[in-house]
Amino acid sequence: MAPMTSPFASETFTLDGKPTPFAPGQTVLEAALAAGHYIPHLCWHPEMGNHGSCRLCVVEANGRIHASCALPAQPGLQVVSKSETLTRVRRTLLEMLFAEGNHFCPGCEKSGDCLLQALAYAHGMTASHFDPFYPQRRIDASHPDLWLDPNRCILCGLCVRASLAEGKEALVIGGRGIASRLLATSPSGLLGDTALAATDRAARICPVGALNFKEVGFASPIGKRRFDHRPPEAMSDKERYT
Amino acid sequence: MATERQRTAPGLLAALHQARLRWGNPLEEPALAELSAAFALPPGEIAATASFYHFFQTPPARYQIHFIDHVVDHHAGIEALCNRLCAAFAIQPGERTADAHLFVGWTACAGLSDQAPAAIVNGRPLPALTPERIDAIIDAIRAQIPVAEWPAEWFAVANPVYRRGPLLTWLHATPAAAVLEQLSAREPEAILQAVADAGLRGRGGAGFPTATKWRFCRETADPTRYLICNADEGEPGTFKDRLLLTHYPDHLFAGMTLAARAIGAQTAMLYLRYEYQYLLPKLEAARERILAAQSQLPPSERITLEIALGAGAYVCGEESALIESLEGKPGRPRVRPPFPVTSGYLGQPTVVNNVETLVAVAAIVGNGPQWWRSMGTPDSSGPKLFCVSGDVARPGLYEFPYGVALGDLITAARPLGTPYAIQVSGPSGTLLPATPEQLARPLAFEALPCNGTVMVFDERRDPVAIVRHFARFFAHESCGFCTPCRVGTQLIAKTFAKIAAGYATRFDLERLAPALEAMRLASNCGFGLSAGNPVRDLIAYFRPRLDAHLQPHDFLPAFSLDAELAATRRLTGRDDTHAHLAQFEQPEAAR
Repeated sequence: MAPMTSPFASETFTLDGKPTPFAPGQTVLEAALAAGHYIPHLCWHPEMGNHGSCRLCVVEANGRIHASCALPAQPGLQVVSKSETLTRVRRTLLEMLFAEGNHFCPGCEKSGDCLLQALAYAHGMTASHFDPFYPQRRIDASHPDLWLDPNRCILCGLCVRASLAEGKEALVIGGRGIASRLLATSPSGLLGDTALAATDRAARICPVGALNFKEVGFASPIGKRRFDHRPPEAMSDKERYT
Repeated sequence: MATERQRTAPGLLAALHQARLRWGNPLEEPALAELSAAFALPPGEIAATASFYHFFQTPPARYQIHFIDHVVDHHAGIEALCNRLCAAFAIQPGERTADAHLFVGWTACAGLSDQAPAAIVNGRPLPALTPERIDAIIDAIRAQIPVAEWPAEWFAVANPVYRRGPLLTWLHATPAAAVLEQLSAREPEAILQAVADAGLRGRGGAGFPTATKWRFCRETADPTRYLICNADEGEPGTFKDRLLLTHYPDHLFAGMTLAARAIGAQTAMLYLRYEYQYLLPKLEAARERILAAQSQLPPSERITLEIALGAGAYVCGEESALIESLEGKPGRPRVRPPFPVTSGYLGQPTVVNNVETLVAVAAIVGNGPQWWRSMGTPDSSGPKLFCVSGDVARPGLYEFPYGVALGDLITAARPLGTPYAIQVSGPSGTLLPATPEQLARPLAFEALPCNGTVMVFDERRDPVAIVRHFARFFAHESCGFCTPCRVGTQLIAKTFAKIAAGYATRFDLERLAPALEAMRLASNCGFGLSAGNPVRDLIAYFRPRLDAHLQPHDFLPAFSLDAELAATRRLTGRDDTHAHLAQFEQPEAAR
């Protein structure tokens, strides 16, 4: 897919030295992606918009650091998305997510199909240099078609947003701080007691190995998975997102 | 575009408080079902809100006691007092007695640093605790005397003021209604102009020019606007708003009315931190009086005044988190833009101002902008309330004009020993060494910014331990929304726990550096941006003290290797030298 720019784009801002067109109302991240300029991100999604929680999309704009998913594009804005500092901060954020959850790639069915893993590779992360937290949150296998491992959840809110958009509100983020966690909204607190269906957008939007389908974990062999041969940066929108 | 933000449910926090009183636990059936039906929200969304706030987590008990987990209280011996109470009932902090009568836990600073050590029982303050008072409390609990019948003096919060200036003098002498009767108090543009001419800057800490914020809001096209008073005074060591809420609530509601007029808001709301709920009757009475003072006005000019109560979340002092909380949601700061002035409460243009700022508005309208301008510095005009606590003989409130030297403020509070470290503006502010150069610095937005909070620590105190307390505080209070703050505050707290245990090396400190950088650069709100400040200052100003805690090796395990072998020694009946393990073994080459 060729990079597309909006037909309404008239004005430009500067992104890593290049004039970049944008449409009114577009954020820096949206305009950058539309212009084929990739800025790493986990919680932004073309269908769901911004969330602002992962902070991977940080850029330097007019000398200050912003999350590009929330920064409105403005004429004349000077944006730097690639620098030593930004790459280091992104790698630290990825290492933080790895330390916080139980992301043991070799034993995870999402390996090769996981945006967190793919971005970690792309940022040259070889190991988390923070001590892992080893959370022990209960796995929810109550749903006939899906299972939830909250120990792999990165709190990007994509499933929450998707479910809200389709009128079900099956999931929500509760708790505070390090105890923040994905909750099923049913009275029992179990996924199986919500209206979430396997056909829902919310069921297949998880970018990591938290919300998974049962019985198909290794249907696609290692080596033939989405990110096995190309990083997210080299992909079109269609390929990049679940 | 979809949002993960829950649907708005104004009044949900109040309903959760009610449910707690009625059912004990707001998250158990039938409370959850009832709330779910009343607010037309799935049970999980009610649970998501309830699980965010500290005081909704307390298990039901007739006596719920929270000791204050704040560094000043710790220095005043709070831990021994907590242990004394717990031991009497054979429980640990965080536990409930088997008969479910008593729960004892910890909570963050409750705005009582001038009368530490303190605790809260069933939402009511227990200031200036002593071992004797704890023993009396133990007796009262054993005798099953209801908290309502405990002696009133146990709950008496004093508001010591050691230096009065023009602001407190005026507040004391002038009835609030008199300000509202002034002609200039009727005209929105006149109010706004007076505040602009006075050069008033927000007293909550950020120092944003109040009139500029107001104008942004006033110039929005949407006619439905809100004025919110931030009375979520949660920055540890801060208690200046407590005095204003206690003694001058009429002036506060008058200031809220004036600010609402200036921005064209129809409603002004006071968001009160849960720990100050004992002030509700006074505030309610003041609200009624100021509403009555408006009764002569045409209905279109009257401002509706409301009061809402928080439930224990420091981060709700951040304006967009406060708005989320008012909307019945977890208090997670919003991603900006949009800013509250264009899209705030219920998506309407909203101004959030601090208690002291709004009292200042009343004083400025009452005395004129020149009166205000004549005090302070050109960039930080007016008088300021400072709260000093810690190792001083006179912990309490001091009114000084902005620009007062840090050392002069501390001298006024009469240090007990030689000051060694000074925490300015609370944990998210700056930790400074008490050197002559630092003490000479003026407290002002353009010099050493200060929200009014100053904690004094003398030579007896270890700055490393102070920072460990702050680290635990931030880890407990992070909202958890953005990666750098949620994880970074944990990494800092874990590192300082390791330092306290004596197992940390220079390497542990070095690997914290990238986490501090990510927090400082990439966090979503001021909380995460500043939560690393205590560590930054410790490294900058107290490095030798920090190094003294670090082991000289490259790496040490985070736990005692030898202690882990204890069970094996017991099982094998061995205790020879080969049954023990050194924490650190010399590398081959060095042997």
